[in-house]
Amino acid sequence: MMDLKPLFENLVPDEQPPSGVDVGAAVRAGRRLRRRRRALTASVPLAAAAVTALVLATGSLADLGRRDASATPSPSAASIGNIWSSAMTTIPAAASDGLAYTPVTALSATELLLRAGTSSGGGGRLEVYDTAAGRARVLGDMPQPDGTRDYHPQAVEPGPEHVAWWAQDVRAQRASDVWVLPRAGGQAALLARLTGPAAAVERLGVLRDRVVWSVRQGGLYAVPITGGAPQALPGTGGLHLVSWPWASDVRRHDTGRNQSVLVNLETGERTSLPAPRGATGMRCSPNWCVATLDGRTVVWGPGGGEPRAVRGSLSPSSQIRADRFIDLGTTVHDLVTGQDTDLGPKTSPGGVAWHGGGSSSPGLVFSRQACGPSSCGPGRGPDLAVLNLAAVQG
Amino acid sequence: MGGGIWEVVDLLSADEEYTAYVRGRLLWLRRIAYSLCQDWHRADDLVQASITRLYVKWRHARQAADMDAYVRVILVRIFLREQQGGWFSRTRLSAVPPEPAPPEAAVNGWDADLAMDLRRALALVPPRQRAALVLRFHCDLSVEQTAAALGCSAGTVKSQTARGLATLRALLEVTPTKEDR
Repeated sequence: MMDLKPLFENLVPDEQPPSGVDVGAAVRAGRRLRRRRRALTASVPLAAAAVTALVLATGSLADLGRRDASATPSPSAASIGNIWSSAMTTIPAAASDGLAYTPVTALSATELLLRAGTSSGGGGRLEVYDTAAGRARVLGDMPQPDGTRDYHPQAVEPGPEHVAWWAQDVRAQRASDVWVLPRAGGQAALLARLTGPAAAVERLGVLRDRVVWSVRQGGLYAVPITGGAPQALPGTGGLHLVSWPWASDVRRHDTGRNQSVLVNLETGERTSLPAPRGATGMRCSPNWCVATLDGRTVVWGPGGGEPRAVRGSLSPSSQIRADRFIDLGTTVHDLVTGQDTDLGPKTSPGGVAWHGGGSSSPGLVFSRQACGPSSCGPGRGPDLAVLNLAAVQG
Repeated sequence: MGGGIWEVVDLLSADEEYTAYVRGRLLWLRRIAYSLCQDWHRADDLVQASITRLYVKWRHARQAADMDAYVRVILVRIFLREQQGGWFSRTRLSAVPPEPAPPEAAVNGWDADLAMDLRRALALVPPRQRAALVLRFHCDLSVEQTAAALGCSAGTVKSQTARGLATLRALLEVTPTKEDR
């Protein structure tokens, strides 16, 4: 028995191709339509009557707007910035050449890994934005192989010397490509073209000498960073990578099950995780556990201690980030200090939906469009307001 | 941090006001459009048509008590109209049927694979039922708000929603819950 309704929360994938919508073109087309309408109204009175009849038949849009006024109120646009002000920053929404930025994750307190997207939806490039200096540095392009049409990078993962991502052509069933790009910048290389069970990539880890990934049915594979044949890693059956070197025995979205083990893939250490009676959706990082218990969200240290209730609700997309933060629907909670901050609803009638980053492992940024004194004005679109968890103090 | 970076500048002309509003809502509109048609290229076309229509109606729209609801109505109605005989419907006929959910995915409630299957299955649900499902469960609108957006009665929304869920369950091969009834 399964309730399908909550699945609609994830109806739109976080990873989205850049927008092809052109607001300027809409203005120009709208002006043409207005002129045409005025000309018709002036020359053919019956046409105006027909327009009136159409409005009557379909209902007044303005009236509908009024009837819908009880829709969920738009969240306070300022709510995200009230706490953890040191972690809030604003960056341009687009590169100097017009490509739209999507924050991937934070590399440090002052460095954001960004994806700059093309209007065609595929490819793009990776950049690092220095929030202290206020400028971006191009790492390299995300190539689109010849002959592919709907080819999209799925998630990006930074490592010590390389940044990796996997990409899929939506028309090619069960095939994935793994790409790497030097973190210092350069040219991307196609590391592996995956088919079969190894192609069902769910998460990547990037080491100095290789790229590892787990697949949806569990188990890990690896390929040398210099290229070669992918190999299944023995002894990893049923494990799901969370963030290198940590792996779990449950899938990310499978919150119907409690995590029962945390594995350090570097040392081989396996930590059993007994769940409190009645706990559901339990997830643990090395120093923290979170679960739903008696209808409340509770957190505790796996070493012991009483679970304490926190504000917010676990959702299928909730993740413990950097062994310190947990996103709980509309809030982010700091497990160390006990403070939290509001993100607002992810999908909002007010249109201030936030983006949870595009990294493979639990990311360290949340972003959304924002208007400021120098943006949203004539000829300028909104900026991106970014919450950088790597810059949270305390 | 105060509200400084969030404060929308005081715009002077209707065109500037329109542009600022649309730019601030593009992400949201795009998500709704994608949830309706499950295709980013079509979603962009749908949003493009909707904001063009909004421009034409801007003077009227500015007087709406809830402009977001106003533009959402525009988007949903353009989607439904194009489904009635436009290229949306022709394309949908050639859509690949969703693969049956693997047994494990059907057992595990929250599942990324199932979410992906849901998107594929939703594309095969008739347009009005799909719109009712998206407005009710993705946009979190009430039955009454959904009825206003679709231009129909609350009873019709309820029946369209129930049929839509039943269709999805059949496509996904999962059993119904009592909440569906």
